[in-house]
Amino acid sequence: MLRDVYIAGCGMTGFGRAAGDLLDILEEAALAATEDAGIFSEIESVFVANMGAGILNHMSGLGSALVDRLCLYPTPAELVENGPASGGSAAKIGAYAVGSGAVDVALVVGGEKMRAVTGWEATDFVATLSHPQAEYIYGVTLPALAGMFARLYMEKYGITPEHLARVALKNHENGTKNPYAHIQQAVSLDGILNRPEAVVNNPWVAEPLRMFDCCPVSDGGAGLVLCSKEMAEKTGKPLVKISGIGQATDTHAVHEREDPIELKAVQLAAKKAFEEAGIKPSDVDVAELHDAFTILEIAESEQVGFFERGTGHIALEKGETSLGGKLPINPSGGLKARGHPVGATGVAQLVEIAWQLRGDAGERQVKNARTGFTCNFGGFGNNVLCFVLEREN
Amino acid sequence: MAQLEEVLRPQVWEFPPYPAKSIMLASGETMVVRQAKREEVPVMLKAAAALTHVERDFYDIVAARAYAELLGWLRYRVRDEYCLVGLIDGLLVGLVNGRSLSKKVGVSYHTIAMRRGLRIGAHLFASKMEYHVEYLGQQEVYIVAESPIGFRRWMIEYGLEKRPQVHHELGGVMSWSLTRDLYFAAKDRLVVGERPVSDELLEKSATITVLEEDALIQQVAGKLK
Amino acid sequence: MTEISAYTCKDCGKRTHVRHSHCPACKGTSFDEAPLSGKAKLLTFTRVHALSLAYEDRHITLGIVEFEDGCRALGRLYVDDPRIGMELTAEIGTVRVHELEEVKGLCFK
Repeated sequence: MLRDVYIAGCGMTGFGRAAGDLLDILEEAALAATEDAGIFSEIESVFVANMGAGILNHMSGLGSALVDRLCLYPTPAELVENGPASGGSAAKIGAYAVGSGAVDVALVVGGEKMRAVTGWEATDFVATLSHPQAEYIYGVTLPALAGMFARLYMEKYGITPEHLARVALKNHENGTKNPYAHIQQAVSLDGILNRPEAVVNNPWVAEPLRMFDCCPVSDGGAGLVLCSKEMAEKTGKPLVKISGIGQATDTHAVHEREDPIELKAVQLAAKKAFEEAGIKPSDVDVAELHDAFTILEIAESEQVGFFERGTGHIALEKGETSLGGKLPINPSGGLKARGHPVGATGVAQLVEIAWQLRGDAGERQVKNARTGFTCNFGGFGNNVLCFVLEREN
Repeated sequence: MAQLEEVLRPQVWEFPPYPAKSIMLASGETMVVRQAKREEVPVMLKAAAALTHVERDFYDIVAARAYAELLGWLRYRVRDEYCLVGLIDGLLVGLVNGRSLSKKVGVSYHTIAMRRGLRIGAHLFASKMEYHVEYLGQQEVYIVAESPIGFRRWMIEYGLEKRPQVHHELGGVMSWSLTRDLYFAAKDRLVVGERPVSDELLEKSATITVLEEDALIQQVAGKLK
Repeated sequence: MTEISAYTCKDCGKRTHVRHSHCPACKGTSFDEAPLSGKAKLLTFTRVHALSLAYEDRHITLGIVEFEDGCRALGRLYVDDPRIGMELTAEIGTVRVHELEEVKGLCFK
């Protein structure tokens, strides 16, 4: 990028079930971010991230709709759709707009209203991102792709159902410390795994994955105000810089990957983000990974470079990824507990890291966090965005 | 007056009791499922009343109907009704009710979960089926539901059979049936719990308490965010 | 009977079930299309319990297989006790009903 880009303001709606419609969600997230920044009329471009309004809410043209709600016209605006990585994509495009010097201030807002339909319809909606002829027609769901991935990954590295359950335990525990989280309820290993009651408490979704291995279906929105250094300094807030962005794609159909457990887009996106920032994975103090399924938190923690291959579950077991550990992962509760309104997630991950770096994360604050990382996983790993964020002052 | 009252009161079949059981929930909390006593109806009415205006997920119609059914039991206007409650340290987290149509056939009325996300409704519905089939020894249970989502879930999980000739007591719509065979085929997956319940746990569950109206509504409908 | 196709790159011989404009191996642009059938080895599988509204089954089983010629595909599995590495035979069957139309796809037995 030609110049540095900063997060001047950030905010989000409570995730879960929204009373209002999608436009209300986008408005609330936009205002949370702009009020936090103290910047509004200076916005020169608006990027809205959303995956499914056309299917879920019978709405399109969300960029124009949000600009109208905010009376920001004639500010340019568009909708960015990149599946569950829509949020990361909109943030990237917003950062490039500022970084190129085309604009000084960009507003990035991600939002989704999924609870407008039943769980079965939401499952089918997300499945529409799979390959239409080679996957979707068979009744593939995202949990099904994750289940087939988990079976191979677990067998290869000796990961047990207990390791998966421990991801849920940690992220649910973190969620109880996040007032924005969809699920603010801790769970126990006995209740979801060890006791006979677990067959009902935690039913199969796509074997070997159970209900508590999967993120919930959520409504919610998140917003960021991105700007130049001069503008960011005026806010008087700690300076949070976007110091690295990486994105990569992979085959649409999962079976076309030479080794289905290699998440190449994750590896490449992370590598590029770290290179651009000029740091190593070991420099990261706090990370938000895309744990739409518990197995993904473990796999991503290895494939972005935090842990050696096959040791992510051991780091988890030792508490290294818990709050207070060496590298807290998903202090927000992650997708597992904060929730996963698909278009909002990539933005919400950046909001959480910005809060962590500013010291604004309340009970779940990671001490002295200065460098943060996010991984936003689209498709089943066919389009991935990673960001490195750093606190400057 | 007493004579007139006698005309209206249903005859009562002394049915076998439901033995209490305990279930550990996902949260690690222990829920005791036990049969409610007739004199406990007023406290349950309080909980049902609180939910009669919660539109979300059909709580309003389910709570209003359950209120009427429970009141009918209290005031001797429903025959052979029973109610099972789910209690965590005595706090009411859910209830299910139904009645016996005959010694061979049961009727399922309602299932109300007062905490979400812990499968309390699934546990209580399963307990109700367990009561009809295993303790009342009935051949089948007639089932219908207000919530299409809840109903589809029961239908898929238990594989219910159609009973086109039976009009369910709730609204006169076509009934579905859980037969003994269907029940036993699903039992391992859906019916859990430990018996007997320790004296200590029973003691804690001896008195039913309910949340205040606002807290209960928020627990069920969520703080709409 | 409906057929499910596979594509063989005329330049390098790489065979894929998914149709591409460019060969994933050598970027070649001409292909021979032929039906995908025969024996295949199971690479991974899952029994899916949370299905979309289109299904009334309690669960279905899906798997990824590799045919003898190296072509890979995902399909419906009709095996009671699937094991990674087991040998299966591909058939064409109904895999979904969409707006009253039966959708044909790969079924492995």
